[in-house]
Amino acid sequence: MKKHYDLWVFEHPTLKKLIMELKIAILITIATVSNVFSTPSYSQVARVSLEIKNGNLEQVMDEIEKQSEFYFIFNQKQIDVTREVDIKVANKLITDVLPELFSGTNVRYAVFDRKILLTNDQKEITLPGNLSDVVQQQHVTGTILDENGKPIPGVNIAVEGTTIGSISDINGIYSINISSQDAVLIFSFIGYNQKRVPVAGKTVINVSMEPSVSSLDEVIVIGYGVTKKRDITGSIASVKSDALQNLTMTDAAHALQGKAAGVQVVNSSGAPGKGASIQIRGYSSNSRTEPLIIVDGLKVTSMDYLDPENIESIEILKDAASAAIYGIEAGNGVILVSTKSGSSVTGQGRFFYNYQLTSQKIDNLPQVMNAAQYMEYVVESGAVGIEDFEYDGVTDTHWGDYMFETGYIKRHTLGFEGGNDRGNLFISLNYLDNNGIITGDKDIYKRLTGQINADYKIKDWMTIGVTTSIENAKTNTVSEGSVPNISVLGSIMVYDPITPWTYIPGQEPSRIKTWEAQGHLLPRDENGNIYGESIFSGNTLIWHPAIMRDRTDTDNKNFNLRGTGYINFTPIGGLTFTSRLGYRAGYSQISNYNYDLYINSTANQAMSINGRASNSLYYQWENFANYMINIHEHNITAMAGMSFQHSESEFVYGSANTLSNPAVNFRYLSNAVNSTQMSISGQPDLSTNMSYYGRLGWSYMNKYNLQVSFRADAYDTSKLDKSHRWGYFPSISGGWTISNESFMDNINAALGMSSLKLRASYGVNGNVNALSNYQYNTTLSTGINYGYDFGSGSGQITGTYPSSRLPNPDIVWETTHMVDIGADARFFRDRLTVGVDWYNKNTHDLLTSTAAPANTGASTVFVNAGKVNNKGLELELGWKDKIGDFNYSISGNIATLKNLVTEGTSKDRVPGAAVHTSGTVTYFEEGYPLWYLRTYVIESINPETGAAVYKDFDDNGIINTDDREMTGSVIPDYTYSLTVNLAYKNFDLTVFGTGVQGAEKLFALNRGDYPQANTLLEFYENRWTPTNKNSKYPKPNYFDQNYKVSDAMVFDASFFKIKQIQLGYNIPKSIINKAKIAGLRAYVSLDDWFTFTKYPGLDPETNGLDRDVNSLGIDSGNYPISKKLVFGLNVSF
Amino acid sequence: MKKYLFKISALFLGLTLVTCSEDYLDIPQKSVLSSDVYYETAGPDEAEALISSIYNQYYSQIEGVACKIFLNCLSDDHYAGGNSFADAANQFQEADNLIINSTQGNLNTMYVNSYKLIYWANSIIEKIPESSDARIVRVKAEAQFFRALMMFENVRWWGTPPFVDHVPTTEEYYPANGNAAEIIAWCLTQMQEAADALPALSGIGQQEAYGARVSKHTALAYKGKIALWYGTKYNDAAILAQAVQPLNTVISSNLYGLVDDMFILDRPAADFCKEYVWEHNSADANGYSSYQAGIDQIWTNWRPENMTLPDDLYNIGWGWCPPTGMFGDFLRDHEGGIDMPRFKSTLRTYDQAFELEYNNASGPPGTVAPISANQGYFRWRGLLFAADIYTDIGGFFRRSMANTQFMRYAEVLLLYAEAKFLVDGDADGTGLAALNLVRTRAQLTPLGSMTYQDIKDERRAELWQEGERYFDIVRWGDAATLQKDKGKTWYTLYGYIEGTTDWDIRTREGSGNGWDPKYNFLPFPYSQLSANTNLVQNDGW
Repeated sequence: MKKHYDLWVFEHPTLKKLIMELKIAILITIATVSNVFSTPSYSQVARVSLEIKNGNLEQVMDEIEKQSEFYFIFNQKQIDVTREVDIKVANKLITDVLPELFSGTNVRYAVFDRKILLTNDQKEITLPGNLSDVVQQQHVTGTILDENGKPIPGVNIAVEGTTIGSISDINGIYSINISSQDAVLIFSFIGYNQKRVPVAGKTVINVSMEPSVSSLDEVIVIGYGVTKKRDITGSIASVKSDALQNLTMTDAAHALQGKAAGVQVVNSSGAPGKGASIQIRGYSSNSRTEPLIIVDGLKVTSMDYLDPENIESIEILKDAASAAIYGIEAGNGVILVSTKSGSSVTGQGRFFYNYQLTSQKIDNLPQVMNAAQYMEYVVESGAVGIEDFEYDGVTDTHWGDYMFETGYIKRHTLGFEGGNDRGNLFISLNYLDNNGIITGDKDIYKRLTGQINADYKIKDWMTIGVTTSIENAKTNTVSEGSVPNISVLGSIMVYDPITPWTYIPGQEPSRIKTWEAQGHLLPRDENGNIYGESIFSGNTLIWHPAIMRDRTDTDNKNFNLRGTGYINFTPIGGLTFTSRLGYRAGYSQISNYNYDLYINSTANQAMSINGRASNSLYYQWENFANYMINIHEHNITAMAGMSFQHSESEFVYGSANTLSNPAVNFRYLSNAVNSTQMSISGQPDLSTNMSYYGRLGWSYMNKYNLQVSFRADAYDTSKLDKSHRWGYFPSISGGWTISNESFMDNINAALGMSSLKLRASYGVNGNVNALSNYQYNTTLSTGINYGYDFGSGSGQITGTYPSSRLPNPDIVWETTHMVDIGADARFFRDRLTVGVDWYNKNTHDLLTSTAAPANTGASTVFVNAGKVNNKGLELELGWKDKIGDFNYSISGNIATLKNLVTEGTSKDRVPGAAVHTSGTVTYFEEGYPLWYLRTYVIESINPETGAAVYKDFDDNGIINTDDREMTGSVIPDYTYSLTVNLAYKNFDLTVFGTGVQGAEKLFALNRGDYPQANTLLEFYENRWTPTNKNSKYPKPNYFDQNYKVSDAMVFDASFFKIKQIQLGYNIPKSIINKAKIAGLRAYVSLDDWFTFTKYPGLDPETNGLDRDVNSLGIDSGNYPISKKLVFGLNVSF
Repeated sequence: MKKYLFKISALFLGLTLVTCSEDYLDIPQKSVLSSDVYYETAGPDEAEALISSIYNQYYSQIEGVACKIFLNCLSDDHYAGGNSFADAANQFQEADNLIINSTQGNLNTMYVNSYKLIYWANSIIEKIPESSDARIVRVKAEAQFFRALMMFENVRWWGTPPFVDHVPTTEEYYPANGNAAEIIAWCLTQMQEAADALPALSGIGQQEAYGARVSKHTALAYKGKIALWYGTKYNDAAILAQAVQPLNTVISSNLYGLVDDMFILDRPAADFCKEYVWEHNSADANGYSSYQAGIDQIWTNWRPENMTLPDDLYNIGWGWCPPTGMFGDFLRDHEGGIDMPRFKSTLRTYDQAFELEYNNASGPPGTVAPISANQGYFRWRGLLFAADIYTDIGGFFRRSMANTQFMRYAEVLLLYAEAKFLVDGDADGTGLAALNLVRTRAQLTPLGSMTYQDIKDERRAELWQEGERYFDIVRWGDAATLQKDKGKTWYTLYGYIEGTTDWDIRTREGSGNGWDPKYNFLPFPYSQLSANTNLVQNDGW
């Protein structure tokens, strides 16, 4: 039984004096009580149930103490414990019980952890520190200010490891007793980051609190400024650093996968160093539709270089109104990345070191036919007779077994961060070494990244800062889908199983011996054995996978420096003027050495060497001013600025096919011997653009928000004719926070709703990706390769010839118009968050390079034609709670997408990508999704012959190109993801999965000119045979060219992948503190380990986007995403 | 202080907002010439630079190997060949089996490039100011020749291609189909005007001094060819009659003749010979040969994976466009044996292949693997002879030094014989004389009188692999008969039947269905029907 502590100390003269001196005082008002009580503490957790009729106060207090760890402290002279009380509460927080208990009395109360102070003093409630050793106190005082330099009343101050506490007064002033010079003060206040400050002998400690990022006051970067989450009127997804921690993705784009509804991360390849493409709200153009990416204000072409560990936040501006401040380049959405600035909770710096070791393997090697099945299938197809195989009777090569290995990724991150109220510093160094899953060292990505960010408040009215990224990368790649079928990956899938990996020396087939005798260099393995060569290799350019891999040595090196320098002036309150210079400078060097090798008359390669050095410099200069003013309840923000961007690049390329010496040491262009096939090229390139922009925002009483923005953009003459070069991009958006209306109070209370906001926006954006240079006019080119030697002594005359484009001076910018309507709500004391958005996005005047009617003499013409509509619904749900020591959160998102070409770019359908030798399969056409799959359709299978009967759509008895229909689209109907975070004591577990539904891909590895290629077991097992007349697929028939581009090759590529299952353990502080380590976390993770799909190819997720947007739905054998076992360690000091 | 700062900053802001001048946005395009200025100020050098590009593109695109193989494959004298029946390069197999569709690549290549050259030629004619400079006059006449030739080829391929006789205005970007009669009439006029303006060779055998470019008599030869083609195809006696005079002028100019040794044709030894009325110069002396010599002969050379190559041939080839057995038999019979010079300069039988020289390394003569599309006859024209190769160009795919002929005097003689026969029954016998010149060179006895079939056979024997056969049998109306079984049976040569010298030829059912009347014209390319919806596809396609 606990005992009420009578506050006798008030009567003790010495102590009373001491207390007076300590000035540990706060003013409690009803308003501040709620703030104080809201800090996470015992009072927020413990609940009591009381039912006392005709009892007295003392009984009630007894009961509370019985049910909880609370105990009451009061002066019996002040508090009448015999007062009659009737109370009935069920499972209520103490903060709810006390008001009821003392309403109508003059008793005031305060809760300090488990202590409840009661007094009738109308001015102050004072806390006597730790009651047990109250006597020998020293004290520390100071002022607590917010981010704007204003005092914060009601901040909790506690001495770490003790129960001593205090609260700041209305002037932000606090005072606290400490028992030891080594004490550490903890400052906490709702909405602000907790701050830890060692006393270290000081008697005055002033503290500046930083707003925390877990509430509606979270700061969101919006382009040329920031805003608070509560003021957002558009659709902006924000991904904070905690969601980017401990990812095994090594670049920022991949890290975004599944993090926000409507943001699709499209992986064209899983090869080391291959970046992902991000698609925001569908595919809006027939050109590349990647978003604009801005890192710390700097426009970059890709965010692959950013290690996710260096990122503080990523904001995705999804709706046109939010993006409109970036005008012409914003048509595919905008991604704003902020790198870490460095901060300190304690005022002390922090070292951190993260290590990650990953082993990776191929996830799914598709089942292809074995030797027996293969021969049976090919003979049935009519492509060959059984004697043509010259089969040795034993060989059954499974190429995947030879070509895939376990690859390793090593990753180190070392960094430092620190800061105080005047400056911050963040430095990190990342090293990544990724050796992929293809045997050998031809798929490698090594990257060294440095990030140096610093800012300093030189004067109270001036801050300067820099951000710097240094990247040094080396990439080796193996060929994949980008060259249709002629790739390592394609070859692994289709090279026939009756060919051996290598021949036993002396037992090569006679044809191999003959070619050797003819002096041809036949490729060999490292032991000198000749690689197997398909008996059918003469038909095709597909080579033995190892030869495909080893035919070329490629070295690809990049060095890039990216950064910004800025200066902020704050001449008067509310006005900030920023001048910012962003730059990117880099060089890259690609060297290729092609080995001399011979396979047959068509497939062979002469020795050649080439190299390309390029350098580029980009800079942008931006000046803008932000102004904010509060007039009564009106909050007005204004921003205006300009931007100038300059981009230049230059390259030198050389190639040669004769070297002065064959030694490895001579494989440099310097050793080229003059021959007619040497070539050199190089040309500088320069482009510029400029913009003016502005934004005006108004909010009233946190209820109504309205924002308008405008941007005018102009590009240099390489893009559009002078008379059309300016594009204008306005936007308007508004928000209504209904939950702040007083009429909602009851509803809020009933639903536990803390926030409900409705938003609507409309904006216009542009797109420059679609436009090649100088398309609006016609020019003449000259070149020796277009020249002619009349042979009459004239020598080679350099030719002059008109460009192949039809000039179109009337083209204007492509524009995207988007309406977005959304709502955000929070329920159950912020445990449940809901966000929903509907958008309708129309892209007009598509800048399209179409086949010019050739009768004009040109082959291409750029026109403004076509319209694409994307619309969708996005839903994000999050639940976050804790049960005792068990913290958990579940968040998920789902986005639907309906993509439709609402107006074609020409009167007929425009052909896109083709399956090699089998014809075009993707089209751009009105009434269909962008670049949909159009194929023949197998209506039935003749049960007697097994022949495919194709649907004759025009009923004219002929099956020709007119008899095809849409059989799929790779654009998914919806995308979704789910993340579960669990934490119990020192353990944490993250499970993250993502998927797409309703996407189809065409399996395009069956090329028409290679009927002897291997293919999926699926086609074998389900083919027509005399004994299987009700088959899924027809009898194999290589004469049937339509089959390769029929719906039989179109598969559902929907998938759900569990991208990550990560289990982490934080080594307890009690252990690591002895080693002066502040934090130590170890984790293991299974990444991309589980895939649920019906797709029979290599990987449903990879695609042909790296070739062209029109190849997106064509699977030509891309490098699959590996499954990974990750071990990681994070240490900080 | 604060006020002061505010003013500075406001000033600063104001300044920076206007510092950016739009002049920064004016960036001229690099490595291009201004169209307007170049033409308007073109002198003789500029004019020749423009016409050089047309010659270059005519050779590499229009008369490029792919179009030629395509046209040959459509005829009864050629198979597609390649590595096997499944070798799908350029859809040549489909052409061989007469199962092409409008997406066949060569259709687009031809359509796009012919109109491209027409546009280039029209630009020269319209935009270069009139001049009395002889070089400019010549270039303009050559431009006239080319646009007429291209419009003729378009009519030969498609019948009703859009008629483009000037640089189109924006309103003319999407024209409807043209009218063949109107276009051909224009072509004939253009050819005549070009002939009037172009110089002639200074004497017989003076082609090299003249240069590998079209002459007065080239234009006349084509004028005759155009008139004859149209006259026979459309049964238009009036146009047909126009064929005689220009061809007669070429013959009576005495500036051309037949070379004695047929084996030199298409080999470097025939460069600038008196038989070539127009040829492309494969330049070999100035280091740019790779731009002026294609790998045509690699396409058609014997394929070492199938057949041991004799020492004379370069040891790489793809085996495209071999002769059909029907043609081999025809030529054997027409020439009176397989040892006649025209037979041996055109084809070799499987047995004759064994008579060639082989070194030890390449193995014994004969088949290495079964040879698809082969009935025992091998081509001997259009091969890559080791002796003909440029040695300064590396790589596996080597180029020949031989010039490429576009019009031989032999064809002029045969065109004349046919025209005379049709127009007035060869009343004066000059037609027969012309035919007999060709026969005599082939060491055949001259004919005392001629039938239409004699002329047709002579053309077939003389012009094999020159891209004329398909157009010939179509315009004669013979295609339906000759091609009724095309593609229905496929032949594969397995060498000798063991222990004998009988050819082991095995057959299988092919994917062709024989002649289809829609091949009377070729289909307009699919991509162009999309690009220009006013263009109407030919019947049956």
